[in-house]
Amino acid sequence: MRLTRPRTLYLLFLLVLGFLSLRPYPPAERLLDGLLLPTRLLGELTTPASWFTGNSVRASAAAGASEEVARRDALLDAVLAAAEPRRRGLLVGRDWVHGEVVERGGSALDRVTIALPEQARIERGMPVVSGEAFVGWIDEPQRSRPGYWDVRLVTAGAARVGAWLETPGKLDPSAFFVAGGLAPMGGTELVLGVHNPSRGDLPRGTVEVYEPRAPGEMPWARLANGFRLGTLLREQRGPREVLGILPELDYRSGLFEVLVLCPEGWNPPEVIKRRDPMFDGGWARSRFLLDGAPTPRRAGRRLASGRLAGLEPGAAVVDATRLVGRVAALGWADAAVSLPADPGFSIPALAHPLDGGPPLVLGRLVSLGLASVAPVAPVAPVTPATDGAARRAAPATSATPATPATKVAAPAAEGDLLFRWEASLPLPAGSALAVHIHTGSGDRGLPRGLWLGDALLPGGAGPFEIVVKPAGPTPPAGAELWVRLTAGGER
Amino acid sequence: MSGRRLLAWVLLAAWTVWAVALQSLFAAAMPAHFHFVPELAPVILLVLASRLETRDLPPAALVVALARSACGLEPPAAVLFGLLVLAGILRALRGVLELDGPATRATVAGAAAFALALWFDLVHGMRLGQLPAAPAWSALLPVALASSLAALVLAPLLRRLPGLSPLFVRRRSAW
Repeated sequence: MRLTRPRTLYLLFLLVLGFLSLRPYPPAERLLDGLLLPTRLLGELTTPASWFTGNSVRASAAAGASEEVARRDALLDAVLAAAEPRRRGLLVGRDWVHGEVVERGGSALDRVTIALPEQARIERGMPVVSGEAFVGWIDEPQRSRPGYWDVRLVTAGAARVGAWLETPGKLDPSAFFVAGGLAPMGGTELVLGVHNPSRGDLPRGTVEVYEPRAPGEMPWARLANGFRLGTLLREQRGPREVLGILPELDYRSGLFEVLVLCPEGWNPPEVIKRRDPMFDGGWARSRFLLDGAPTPRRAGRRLASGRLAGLEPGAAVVDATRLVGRVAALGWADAAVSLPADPGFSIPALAHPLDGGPPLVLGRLVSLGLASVAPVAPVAPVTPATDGAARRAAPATSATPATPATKVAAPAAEGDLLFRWEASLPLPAGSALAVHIHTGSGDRGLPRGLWLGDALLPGGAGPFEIVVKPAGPTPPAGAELWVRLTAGGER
Repeated sequence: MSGRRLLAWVLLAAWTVWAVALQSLFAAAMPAHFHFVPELAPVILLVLASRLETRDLPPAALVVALARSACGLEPPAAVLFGLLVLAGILRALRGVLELDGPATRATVAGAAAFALALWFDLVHGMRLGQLPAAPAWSALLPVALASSLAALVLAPLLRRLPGLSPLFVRRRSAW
């Protein structure tokens, strides 16, 4: 075949398209989307197809809406309560401001972004905690988004905090050291580093923050004293001895709600209140263009709004309090939305036990698509546990060697979803817990508390494949939906 | 470009959007794990390939790709790439094969739909940061079979869609 100039250009164009398909380059994609703007009109041509589908599902969905709103409110109240320490003595002489984790810093585990009430007085260096666990420090405000602050995590490379050891029954005044950063463990195990211990024979025990009084210190340096970092780990791993701290928190995906500690009287009481993103005006009304996707291997819809309406990738698409899907790809005037049945769809998740227990942080759930209706493996005994605190405090076992995903014993019905759950903070082995699954915090454009569906969570170390009964049917084309606007939203 | 040809291109886009919309409704109406859904975009391009001027094949692929992108979840770049590659292959094939023949048509449609579905899966996997270990044969083969069947059954209908004739080559009578 002879290469002429048009043929060479054609091949070059194909090469660029192939590369863009596999390695998205946002400026080029935006340009291509601009050129494809007329396809939005083509999308409208599909509108008559929705005449073939009914709106009967809307009525049944609306009937349970008030109950769902009440349940969501209860969940958010419980999440706020869970962010406050059970040992109320830890808050004596301190004020605090609630903050929601709205964005994670990626795989580096260096920082997260939190949203705080705009009127709150916040200063760099203020300690950040979650429950009784120390998280990190306030770092910088985000100039483009008032009320958004970066938090430097204690897992960051250069992070250091004074600590001491609480051996069973007593504080050991001779065991001081500096904690922070990650210990070099290899693999995916997350262990905090221990530096400059006051003695070499540290016993196993609980590690607490302890910053001694020092001249010229900031007034909030010692506010985190007494909050826990985790459990001291000292064991022989091959030829070397490992010394570190097993954290109580899943820093990768378990941080949802935090408290910023301030000196007493620092903020007026009215700033310590719940922010509800459902009513903050950061939403755009939209609708689906068509009831289906061309390929049965994907589950998604085209949305009748795009970049011009202020949408961003990852934004939640919501029907009342239910999570319908997330924006997967954006055009200027339309978007592709992944539904929870789309393989690869993922959310940070919270579980709200049906028995009324406290909410559980599940970490990230990743969709494997629709569940097979075929019989599944033997059923684990259903023994709803009630001791939520014990479950939350279970040591992180993300370091456990990866075991093959285990089928969970819940019979799947038509339309049920299959999700992969790493179970970084596992439930007690031998138990299973019936829960409502809701979105957690930390993903840009995805408010927490949206209902995904119900599931039976197995106990023991993961990872697991869990069957989720979806919250409801996908809204039909033309029905009113709400899409989260990240710019100006999350407040 | 004459007004009639411009209208024909617009109508090709509209017909393709409708075909892909019906394909989507069919896929949504079927039970879970039912993969016997044809991929109509390559079928339409194939059916028209033997009737279009050679130079019109890439624009036809472009129009069909735009229409397919308007309904699907796949990135437009991936759809454009897949259908432009198919246009190039069809251009080469029609010099050596009679694409109008039922057996050829069914075989090429099946192979094209299979390759396109495999490409879309690869793009989806790569964008999620994971490379599929092996093709999902159980999902892809039904797509290929359904597309072959659609090419056999729907070809006469697709060629007679109103408004497309200005794009077709006029066949001169031997007499």
